[in-house]
Amino acid sequence: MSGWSRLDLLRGAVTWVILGVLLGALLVVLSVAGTTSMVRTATNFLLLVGLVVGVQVFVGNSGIVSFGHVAFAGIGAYLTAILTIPVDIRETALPDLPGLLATASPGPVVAILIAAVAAAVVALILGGALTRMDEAAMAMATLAVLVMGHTVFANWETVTRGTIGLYGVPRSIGQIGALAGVLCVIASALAFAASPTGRKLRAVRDDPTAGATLGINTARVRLGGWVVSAFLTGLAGGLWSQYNLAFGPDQFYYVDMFTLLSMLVIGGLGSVAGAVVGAAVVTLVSELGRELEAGLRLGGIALRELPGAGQLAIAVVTLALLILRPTGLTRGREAADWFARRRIERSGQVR
Amino acid sequence: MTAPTLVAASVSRSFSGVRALEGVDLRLDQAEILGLIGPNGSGKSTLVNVISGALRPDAGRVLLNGEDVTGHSPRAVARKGVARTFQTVRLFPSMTVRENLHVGVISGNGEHRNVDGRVDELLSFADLRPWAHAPAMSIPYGLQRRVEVARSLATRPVFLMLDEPAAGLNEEESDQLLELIRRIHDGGVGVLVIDHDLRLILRLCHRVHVLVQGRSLAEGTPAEVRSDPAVVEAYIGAHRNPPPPPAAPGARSDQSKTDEEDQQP
Repeated sequence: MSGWSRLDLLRGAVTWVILGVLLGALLVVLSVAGTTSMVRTATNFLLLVGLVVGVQVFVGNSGIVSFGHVAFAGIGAYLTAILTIPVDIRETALPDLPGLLATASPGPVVAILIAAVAAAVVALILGGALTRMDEAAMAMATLAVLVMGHTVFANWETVTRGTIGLYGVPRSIGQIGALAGVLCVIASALAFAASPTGRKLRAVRDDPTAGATLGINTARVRLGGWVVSAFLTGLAGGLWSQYNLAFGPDQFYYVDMFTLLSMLVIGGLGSVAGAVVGAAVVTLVSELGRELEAGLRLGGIALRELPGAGQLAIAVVTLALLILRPTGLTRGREAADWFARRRIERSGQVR
Repeated sequence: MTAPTLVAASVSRSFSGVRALEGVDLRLDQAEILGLIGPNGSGKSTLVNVISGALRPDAGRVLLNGEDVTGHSPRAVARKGVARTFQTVRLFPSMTVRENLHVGVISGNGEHRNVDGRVDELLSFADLRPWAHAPAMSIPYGLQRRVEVARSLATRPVFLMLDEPAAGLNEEESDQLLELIRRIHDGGVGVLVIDHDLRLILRLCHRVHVLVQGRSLAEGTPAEVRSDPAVVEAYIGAHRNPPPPPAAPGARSDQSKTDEEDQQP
C-alpha cells in the first residue's frame, strides 16, 4: 500500500489484539462471575469506549481539542434510532418524519453505517472551514458545533421529538454486539493512526512549520482526521442507541463531551489504548461515586448521601492526573509498546 | 532539458524599516555546493526564508528552473523540490528517528511504495541505523542535525538549503556532517549551506557568496573569497575584533524576526 509502513501496521495489529483480549476477558469474567448489573455496566463501558476512541482519532492525532464530537455521536444515535424504530411506532410517535426516514427499515447494522456516513458528511461540510483555522481558533469553533448539534436535536421536533427525546428503539445488541462493534471502531482508529494521513497529522501536531516545510498540506490532513473521527464517533453513537433505547438532546451536550474529553486526558490523548484506559478509569470512578451518592457505611460511620459525588470524583482524578502525569496514564503509548518496553527492560536486567 | 537552477533575483526585504536584504542576487546550480556567509544580521536566514516561501520579499523574484515561485507557500515550494532545514533543529518530538524519516518520505513527491525500505536506505545513508528506534529528542544534538538533514533528503529534493547546520556541533560531529553534505551533493542535489564556520564553508563549498548588511559583497571560489580584501575587512576582520554581544539589537534583529516569521503557519 502506498505510503504505509509495515512496522506501523504491525504495531496497530498487536495493539488491537491486546485490547481485544483485555476487553473480551473482562466481558467473559463478568458474564460468568458477575451480576446482571455488572454486565450492564460493562456493556455501557464498551459503548463508551467506542465513543472515546472515535474522539481520540481526531483529538489525539491532531492535538486539537474538539468540543463538537458529541454532535456527531448524536447524529449517529438519532439517525440509527429513527431507522430502527418499528415503522408502526414511528407513525404514532413521529408522524411527520420526512421521506425515507418514515418508511425505511434497513436493519440495525446498515442503519448504523448510514448514520455514520451522515455524521461524516456533516463533518466534511463543517471541516472545510474549520480545518483552515489555526489550532486554538479551531478548538473554539468546535464549541459552536456542540451548540449547533444540541440546538438541532432539541428543536427539530418532527425528527427528534425535541426535548422529550426518542423512545421505542428495539434492543438489537447485547454485550457481544457491543464488543464486536467496539473492536471494529478500535481497529479503524488504529488503522488511521498507522496510515500516511495519520502519521502526517501527528507530524503537523508536533511542529506545523516543519511539516509544511516537508510539503505536508496541514488543512488536508486535519480534514482527513476530522472526517474519519466523525464517522467513527457517529458509528459509536449509533451502536450506543441500540442498547440505550431512549434518549434526548441533553445526552449530547456539555456534560457528556467533557466526560469524553476527561477520559482522553486521563488515559493519554496520544494513543487508542489511552482512550480505552481512560474510559475504564472514569467508569470505575463514577461507579464508586454512585455508591457514595447513595450513602455508605464505613466501619460504623454512616456517610450521608452525597449527590454529585460521581462528577466530583472524575474532576478530582482528572485534575490530579493533569498535575502528576500530564501525558496520561499510558503517556500516549500504544498497547504494543507497553510490551516492547517491558521486554527491553527485562532483557536489560538479564544482562 | 537545461539543468535545474534556483535563482534569487534582486531580492529586497525590510522589517519595520530595517533593511535586511537589499537587491541580493543569488544563483544555485544543481551541480554545486554554494556557501552563504556573512556576519550576524547580514540577512542570510532572511534570504533562505524568502527563497523557501516562509517570507515574502518586498521586491525581487525567486525563480526555480525559470518559473516564478515568489511568494509561494513553503509547502508549494517544498513540493517543487526545494527542501530546507532550520537554524534550530525542528524534529517531530513525539516520534522516533525512523518515524521522522518516514514523515519525510511520505510527504515528498513520487511513488511511496516500500516506504520501510526507503527509510532503511536513508538511515544507512546518514549513518543513523543504531538510533533508528530512539525517540528523536533523546539522541545527541549532532545526531539530531543529521536526522533533520536526512528527513529533508527523504522528500527527494532537487535543492537543499541548510541553515547553519554545524551550529552547536563539536569538531568531530561537524566533520561527519560535512561528509554527509558531500554525499548528498554527489547524489545530484544542489546544496546551499549557511554557516559561520568558515573552516567548514571553505572546505566544503565550490563557490561562496558573502552577504554584509543585506548586500552581496562578493562571490567566488573559496580561495578568491578568502583573499578578497573587502571580505577580509568586513567579515573575517570583524571576527578578529571582539564579536558584538549576541543580545545587541542590531546584530540579532534579522534572526529574531525571521524566527518569528517561522512560527507563522
